[in-house]
Amino acid sequence: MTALLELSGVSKHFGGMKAVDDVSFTVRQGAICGLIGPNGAGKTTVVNLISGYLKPTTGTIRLAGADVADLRPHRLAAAGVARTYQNLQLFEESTVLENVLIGRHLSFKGRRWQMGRTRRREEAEQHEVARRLIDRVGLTGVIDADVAELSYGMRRRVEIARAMATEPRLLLLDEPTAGMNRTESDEIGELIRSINDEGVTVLLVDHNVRLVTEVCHRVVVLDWGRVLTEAGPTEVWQDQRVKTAYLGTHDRNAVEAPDAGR
Amino acid sequence: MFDWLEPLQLFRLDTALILTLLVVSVHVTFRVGIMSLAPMGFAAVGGYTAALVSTKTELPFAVGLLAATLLAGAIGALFAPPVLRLRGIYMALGSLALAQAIVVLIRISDFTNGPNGIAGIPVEVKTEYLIIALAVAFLVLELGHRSHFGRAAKAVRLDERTAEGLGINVFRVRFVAFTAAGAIAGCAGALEAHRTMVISPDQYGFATLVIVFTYVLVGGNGHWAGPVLLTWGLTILRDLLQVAGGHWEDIVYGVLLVVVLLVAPNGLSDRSLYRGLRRRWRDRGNPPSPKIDEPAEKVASP
Repeated sequence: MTALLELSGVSKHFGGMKAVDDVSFTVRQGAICGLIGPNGAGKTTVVNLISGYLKPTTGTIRLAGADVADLRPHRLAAAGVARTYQNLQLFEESTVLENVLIGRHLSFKGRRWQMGRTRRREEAEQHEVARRLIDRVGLTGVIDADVAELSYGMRRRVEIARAMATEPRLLLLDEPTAGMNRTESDEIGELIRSINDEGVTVLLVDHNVRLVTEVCHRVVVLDWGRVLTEAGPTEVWQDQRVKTAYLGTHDRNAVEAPDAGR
Repeated sequence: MFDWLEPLQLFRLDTALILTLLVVSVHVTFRVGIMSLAPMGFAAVGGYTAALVSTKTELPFAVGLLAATLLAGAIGALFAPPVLRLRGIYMALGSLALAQAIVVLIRISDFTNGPNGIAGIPVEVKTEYLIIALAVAFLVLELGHRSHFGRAAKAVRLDERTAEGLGINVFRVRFVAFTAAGAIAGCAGALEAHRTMVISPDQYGFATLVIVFTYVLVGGNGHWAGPVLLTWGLTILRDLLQVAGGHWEDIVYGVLLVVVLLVAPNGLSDRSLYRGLRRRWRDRGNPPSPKIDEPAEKVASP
């Protein structure tokens, strides 16, 4: 029950704008934690802070007890933090396999200029690992296709496979089902659960109520850069403040919970 | 070994080979997404180092060449941190400013004989040396291209932020490339000095840089062979067409640059350019395969 990720009093100000304001929450080792909130609540900023793309104005971020707030993204990747991006950032002119292989960068043991048999053996091993990951996300059939040729849903999966290639302890998923239909997002939910079963802790940012309710163990709600509440995945939607945050005060009685896939 | 060539042809061959080294230098920076206009500055460092070593000391040519390469590489390493902080056009301007500062220093310094340059540099360069230097460069480039370092370099060029998130130390990759590019350009400068006997600050200006950039851009950064083969192909072509040195040469280059960058914005060795061809090859004999796609989907509206 130890905390893998621990944010305490984290703020990020852009000029006078408090994108993230005094946010504290912890993610248990081995958990799937949801991070939800209306658009502009600061979810992606939190993900950027955790993955090192932004430095907090104040506060500390601890990964397995070590302060990581000042680390650059590549150091955090080495420390076991991997992520996907809200608006897909794949290497477009590369194949699925190449994209995943770039994720293997950290685990190449060999020196830069190794050649001959050593290089070929390591390359073959890494290809095998990448192949397994691609198989796992269901893309074996298009392994050598350029990602630019793939459909949107498939591209999301490439990104997840690439993040998994870094062998993370903590996987940050920034809206992995945005723009997906129900079947597809259910499949992504299955994938997240199976990744979690291997012991990878997941922080899931998504608007998809079904997904969040079904896969998350715990849900943190952000609104206007602050933590509104933290609760279990079903209780959280009962909370009047969460409904208000999503729907505004006037629509209080109109809908029970925000609809999926907005 | 190359006795069968006429002196003029031999001269042009050597010119092309040294130009290829500069092309390689620029290609190395392009591969990791650095837009550097510094190569002529590094070539000046190399040329003057080699020239001063051989005219002011008794040391052999090889020592001067080595010193030139190392010094240019060291200056590259020194320039890298400030230049690599910049982005896009500012990076280009920053690198140009630093590199041309070197040329200005050479021009005003008595030690380098100011604007008059240095004459009487012993001719030591044989075509064989140039070929060896290039072969070494190609070998290193190909090993880098095939290693995971090459893959990391490509990732940095395509999207440095994403590369960083996958554990690639973007600064280190670029630092290595910038330093190596400096060393290669320095080596080219030294070889050039020992071939033409005379150097002056004026030769390290824009004219050569523009030609080199044309080759690198048109050749593309998919593989080092693109720019290299283009350099050689155009050298032969301009000889055959006898346009070398005339007004027509610039026009031909200009048209070539515009046409290629319209057809293939990432140059001729760009992979996506051949995607359609590869698919046709894959599907040869079979009815055209349906485009890999799932049923129509909503577009993301985050």
